[in-house]
Amino acid sequence: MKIWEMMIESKLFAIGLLILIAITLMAIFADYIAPYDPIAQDFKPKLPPSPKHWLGTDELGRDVFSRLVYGSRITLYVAFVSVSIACLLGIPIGLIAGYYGGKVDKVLNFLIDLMLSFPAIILTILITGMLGPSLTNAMIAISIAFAPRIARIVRGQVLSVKEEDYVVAVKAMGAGGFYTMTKHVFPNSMAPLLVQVTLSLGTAVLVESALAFLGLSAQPPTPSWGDMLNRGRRYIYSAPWMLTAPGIMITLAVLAFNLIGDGLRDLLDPRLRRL
Amino acid sequence: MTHPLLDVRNLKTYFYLRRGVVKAVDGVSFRLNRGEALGIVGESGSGKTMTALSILRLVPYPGKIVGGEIIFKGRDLLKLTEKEMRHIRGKEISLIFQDPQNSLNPVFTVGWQVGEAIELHSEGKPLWDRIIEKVINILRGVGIPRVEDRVNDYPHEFSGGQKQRIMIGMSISNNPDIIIADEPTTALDVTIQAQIIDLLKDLRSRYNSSIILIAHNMGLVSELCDNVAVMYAGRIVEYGSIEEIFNDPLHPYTRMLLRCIPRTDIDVDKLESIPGEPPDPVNPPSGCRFHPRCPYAKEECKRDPIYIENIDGHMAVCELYRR
Repeated sequence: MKIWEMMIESKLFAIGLLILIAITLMAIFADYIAPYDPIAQDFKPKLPPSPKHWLGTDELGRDVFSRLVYGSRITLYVAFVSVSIACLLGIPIGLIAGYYGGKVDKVLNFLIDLMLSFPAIILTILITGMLGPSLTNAMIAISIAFAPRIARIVRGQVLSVKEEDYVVAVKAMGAGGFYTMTKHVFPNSMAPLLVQVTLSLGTAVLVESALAFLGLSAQPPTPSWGDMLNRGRRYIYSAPWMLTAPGIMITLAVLAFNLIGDGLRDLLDPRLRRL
Repeated sequence: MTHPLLDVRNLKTYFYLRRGVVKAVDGVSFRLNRGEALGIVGESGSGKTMTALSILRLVPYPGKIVGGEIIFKGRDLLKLTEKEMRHIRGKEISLIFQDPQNSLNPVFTVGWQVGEAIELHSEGKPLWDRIIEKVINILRGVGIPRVEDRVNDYPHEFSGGQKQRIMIGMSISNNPDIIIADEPTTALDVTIQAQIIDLLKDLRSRYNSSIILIAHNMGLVSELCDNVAVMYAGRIVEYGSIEEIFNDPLHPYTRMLLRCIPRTDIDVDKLESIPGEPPDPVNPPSGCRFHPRCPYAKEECKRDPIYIENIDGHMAVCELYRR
């Protein structure tokens, strides 16, 4: 299905995709969009929004809009990199557990369950706490927290797909186990994985913002939405724009991924698919 | 006497479940000569499919082949390594499945999938163009119209009958010695069934392959096969040539199966059925497993039944023939 047809088919998917495209463009062209240097403390602190400073300035005299624009880079970067790493870890584990079954599955599934018994945010705080606060460590933490979620989805899919006649047929044609698993089982397990990955991107945005809020992600003065939120919290009455702007952006980013994820779920569901 | 192409001896495939052991295949023996077509007939759950999967060593978990020999071209398939077995599957023995709707991978084109079957058994890495050329020839051979336009279509763009033709094409793509067809027409319309059987007949005469046709329908088997093995609850209860089985069935179960074929030449009010239910696979009846449903059952049937065989190789396992 072409992306156009998908957007026409599902309005929510279209809205989510448009928001995501807007944020992505903002991150790519931050240098051209942001009117000021996001780090330079060039202005009076806590200026309210005005034509000169659309979203005002923060307590150190930095332009909030410029920081917001640059902050999208961190958010998208962390979300995509950490979820990609989570996939690199989770997909092979899920494939192997589901496909080979038996003792291998029992051990891997136990580890997955163990990891899943921690909420993602607690696990990431634990890991960044151990590794030390930095952007890289935040990404490592998010990857580790999300990998078992990816693995579980893949495992569940593989368990059902590997019983399909066409998988047995490929083996009856003389294909080996690894070949069958990667070439035939995996592509047929993709649909729910795609949905999960998209939803995970949304959660990753949220988790990264929370880590930044707690000072466990990118360190100041790097502009990041979570950090901006944390700073704004202290001036919630005197300078509410400092908190509102990054709050809305985080919400929009998470919403975008969730809408795309839900849209994909509907679009990929064969029962809902219009012929 | 020449050696048979395939000699299955006392094959046992058991499934280890929590509530007990299911003896899906329990001491099955038969022979298949080159060019011969053998029918294996029985009810659902009689172990026909598991016999076929056992030959290819593809018994699904928690099933296991626990005994017997499968001698193919002088080698016991049960003693081969997994790697050697892969060279047998698809290349020397191929399998056609019951439901063509599900036996092609939905995410790849049919041309790619038939090509894959060829590529898996090719020396080195032949050019894909050459493979596709071969694929087109094969698919034309099994009666897919406008093949050139259709090799790049996906499975859902074909009808059930066409998909089964494609599966058959795939199974003959490496000129195997044996084609095992596991109820190849069960999921198809009656009109298409006849076409598929004609196609198998045609291929058999063209390539001189041996065929094992698994069916639950005596009528279908009579169309194609030279010999028939009748299976009941994991065992072969009667074996013989198609003429002998039809004209002179020995085992009561075979007789009842034959009566289940719908007939139009005589006036009947309703179709015959076999009273009773197939036995519980975990606790099969002792002795002859058919005795609880058999109208001729005697006390002796609860012990191991007698095995008889006449000079033509017509064999039956039934207490009725004890002298």
